[in-house]
Amino acid sequence: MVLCRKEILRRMRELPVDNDGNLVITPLIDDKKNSIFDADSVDLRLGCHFLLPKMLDQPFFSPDRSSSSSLHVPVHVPLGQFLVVPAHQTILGATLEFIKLPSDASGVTQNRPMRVT
Amino acid sequence: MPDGLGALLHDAAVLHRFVDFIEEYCKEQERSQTYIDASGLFFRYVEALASGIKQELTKEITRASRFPKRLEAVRRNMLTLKYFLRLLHELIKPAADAHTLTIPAPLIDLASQQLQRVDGMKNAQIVILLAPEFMYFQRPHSEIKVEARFVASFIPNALFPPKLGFIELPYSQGPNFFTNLAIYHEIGHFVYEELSHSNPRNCHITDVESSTMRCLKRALNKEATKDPESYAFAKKIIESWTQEIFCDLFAIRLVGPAFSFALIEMLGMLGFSKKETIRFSSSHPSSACRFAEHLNMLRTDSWWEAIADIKADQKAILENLAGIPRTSYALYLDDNDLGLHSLVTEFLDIVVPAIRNLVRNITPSPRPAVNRFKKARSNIENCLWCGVVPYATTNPPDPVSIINAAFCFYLTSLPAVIDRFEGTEAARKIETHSLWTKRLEMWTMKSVEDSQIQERLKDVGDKYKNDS
Repeated sequence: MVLCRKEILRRMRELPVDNDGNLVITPLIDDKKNSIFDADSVDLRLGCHFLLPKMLDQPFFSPDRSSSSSLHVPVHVPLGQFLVVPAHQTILGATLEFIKLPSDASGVTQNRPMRVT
Repeated sequence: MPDGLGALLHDAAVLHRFVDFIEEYCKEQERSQTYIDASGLFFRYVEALASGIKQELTKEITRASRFPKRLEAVRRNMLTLKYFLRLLHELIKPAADAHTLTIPAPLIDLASQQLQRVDGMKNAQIVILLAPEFMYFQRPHSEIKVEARFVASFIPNALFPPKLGFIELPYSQGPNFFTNLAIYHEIGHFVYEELSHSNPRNCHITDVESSTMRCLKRALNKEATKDPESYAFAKKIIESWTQEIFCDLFAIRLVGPAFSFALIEMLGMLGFSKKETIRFSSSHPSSACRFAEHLNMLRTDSWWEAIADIKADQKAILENLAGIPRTSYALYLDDNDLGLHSLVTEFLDIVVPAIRNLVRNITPSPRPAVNRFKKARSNIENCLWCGVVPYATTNPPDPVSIINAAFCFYLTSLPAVIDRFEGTEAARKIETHSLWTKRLEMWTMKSVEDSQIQERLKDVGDKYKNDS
């Protein structure tokens, strides 16, 4: 079952934070003209922290703890500035919103492709 | 070629190469990292200065080859530039190290905003430096400003940003949140330095200065008063104590009891003995005296009442230190035969009330912040108890409430949270405590950042409404 807008809002606004069914999305930057709430989804924003892929420090890959941090470079992009992603490259980005999911629900993130011509 | 021009050309080329490197270094740092606004401003100043120096050197050498009499003037200007660049050189690398991934940027942003609301500090900004020393420090900037003004007379395109302060953090504490509240004290030093050189003079600073004179007159014996060296020595001591007390009270006015707790944590890390708690040195008043002033200010501002129910060791330490009778305070100096023993008493009686008055007059009243804290505290603590970034569905909590509530929560409830999420066994592990402290700090920092974002959007919305 997919949670509808009304149920999402009920869980966010009516259930206290320590309730198992409570849903938290913060900061909630919403206005009446461009609501972030759709019929059954919530629009999230990209935050300020990204991980960009980089070449390995060593000439080999070892799937251990140290390699996990040497595969990416952390980057901070302040609000209002931009980050250009090179063609065919994938980067990791954190959402601006902190999310706490209820114990009886899971979340699915889908990207919103925007084509610039 | 005129006599001396060859040597001057050599010197100019060395200087050219040096500033060329500095200019490129700053540009490279700005390209590869993100900085808070003040650091960006500082780098752009250095770049403009470097570019201006290169242009000026070329022009001056051309002029000197035509008019050999100018050689001496060019040499003098180059000496001034070299001295100024040496001052800047010390700041550039630590400023470059302090990019937004290595410092608590939301806290610095908040502190800058609060600083700008202080009387006489409009448009003031702080550049953060990451230093190798394990201490927080404000780099006095008056000399840089004076030199910058002089340099601007022959490099007109490089104007030093007005009201720019430099604050050093220990590099190991860079990403931390709670201990970095100590920067509010350093901001106090910046404010004091600015106010001391303000034109027209701030009347409350003048009061503090005249109370210093009265204090010296009463404390020093006649011989010491007549001896200019002894008098200057005693005056310097009083001025140092004045600044320290001012900075502590200034920090409390801006950020509340969280500053006192942060200072206790910091002193705990440095390690301080029982003897040191009552010891006045030539640079600092005793910890007991400082915390007595903290407590006094917290009580007057109603913060103490707002945190009355908090049972934390740090609060007890603060109360115990503040409770040490002032008759126990002692002045330790290498050379204490100048009749300086009564300096402490006179300082407490005459100068400290003037400092309190100065702080109250230049900072906004903390009462609204205390009331907001009282209202928001249980919600913030509840969020942290559930492992959630503090938030509110209606009115978002303000940053000072978030910081104080989170600090109180950290001091009182961290073990219980670890126990709740990780179990009793894990709660006994140091690594788990360290990790959860980090998490708590990150949630607090995120909440402060969210609050600032919402505030900024509100301002943009209000501006849009007004414009339309």
